[in-house]
Amino acid sequence: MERDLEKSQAALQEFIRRQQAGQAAGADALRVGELTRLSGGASCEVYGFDLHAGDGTTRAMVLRADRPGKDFSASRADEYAVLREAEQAGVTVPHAHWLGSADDGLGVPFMVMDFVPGLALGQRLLRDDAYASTREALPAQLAGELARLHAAAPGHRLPGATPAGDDPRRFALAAVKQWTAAAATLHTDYPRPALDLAARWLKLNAPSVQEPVLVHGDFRIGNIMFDERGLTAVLDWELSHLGDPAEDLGWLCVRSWRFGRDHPAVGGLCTRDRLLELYREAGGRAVSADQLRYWEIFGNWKWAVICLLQAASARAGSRPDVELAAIGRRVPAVEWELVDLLDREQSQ
Amino acid sequence: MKDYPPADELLEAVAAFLDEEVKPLLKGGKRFKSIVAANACRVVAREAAGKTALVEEQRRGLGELLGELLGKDGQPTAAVPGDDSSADELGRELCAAIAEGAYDQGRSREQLLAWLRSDVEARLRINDPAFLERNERRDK
Repeated sequence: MERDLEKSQAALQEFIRRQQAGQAAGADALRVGELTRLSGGASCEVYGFDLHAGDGTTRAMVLRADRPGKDFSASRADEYAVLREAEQAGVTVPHAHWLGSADDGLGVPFMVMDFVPGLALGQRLLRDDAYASTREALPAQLAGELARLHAAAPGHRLPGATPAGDDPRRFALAAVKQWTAAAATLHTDYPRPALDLAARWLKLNAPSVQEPVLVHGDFRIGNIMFDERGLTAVLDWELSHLGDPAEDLGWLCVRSWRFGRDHPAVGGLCTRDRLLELYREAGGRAVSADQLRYWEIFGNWKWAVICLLQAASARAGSRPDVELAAIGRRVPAVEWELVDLLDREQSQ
Repeated sequence: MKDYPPADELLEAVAAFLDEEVKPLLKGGKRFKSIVAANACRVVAREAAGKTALVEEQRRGLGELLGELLGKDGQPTAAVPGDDSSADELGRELCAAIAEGAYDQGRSREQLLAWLRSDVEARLRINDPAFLERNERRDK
């Protein structure tokens, strides 16, 4: 359903005035400018707007609102909490100002944060000459962001259930279980032996984690904002959770985030070995090539499941959506990569 | 007997209309969507032309693969080539055998991986031929 932008603009202005009442002089004079749609994923809609303060200053802001009926990602409240946590840990993120519930006028949970200039488009990053210096700078910046995030002392409030027990493999096993359960909601009319083989291998080869950390959960080219010099923000925190630091590193190696620039493995930017080296130099933990490969296989499998879930969600709206439906047909390419990675495992 | 024109030709005409007449009128997200829609038409066109052969090959390959699988008694455990299970039924049987650990190691695992590779390549020829071309360039 299309959002009524004028109504949303008025509701948002009311909300921000309420948040600022008693905290800032002239809260009643705050004005929210026109909402412009910036992007929209499967689980949220993103709008840009100007916030005009009573003293005549203007600040560019972003509204992230849930899409009705979204399912597999964390709540907007969890994302907000994690974003604040990451900012404290020194990760480059947009400052999150306010969190709104479904009762705050927009009908869905939402948050308001600073607008960060830059692009998040993987294709442009990897192909456009204007971003040659960015491509040079990014590997060390990505490793540094992850090292800082993983060094954060996780606060009291973390999304999702932390797996119970003392099996050191429980974080990997819980991740496999979570996405196996998600996959189980899909049509059984379409058997996917390659994905089932990957799930089985992931269950049998789950690595141990001695010290779980706050994991971003969707750290990849496409979720990183950049300009001509380098990284400007780490976005999309809605899949973050407590887990193995190598999970974020492996996800970054998933082939889909190379946007057709297949070499080198880390987003078309640097080799896997180089990523581990840079991560270590930035203060990250020692991660072995085996651990990294486990999470790269996990990442490809999880991405295939997400694609199928998105394709299935194409039918959820009032009319089927071709963009979402077509995502399902990207799965064979991910299966190919999985079979290739699993085959290399065997020959070791 | 089929009606003329065949599905792949009709869909190629829709894709050409989207590409050449609709896309130039659009901007931003809608323009991108028209590209996705044209591509989806071409996927379905290739599927319409190649589906029968694909499914027949899956039936043959899966029958062979499952027929090779030996139980603890050394006897074949599952379907044998020539039975009349559908490709989907055999696929579900394969998934069940994978979950039970029948393909965890050794020769059966090698055979499974080889079959999966050929099957996924056949499906990529329908869904994403450009991906296979990139792989070939990569291997050179």
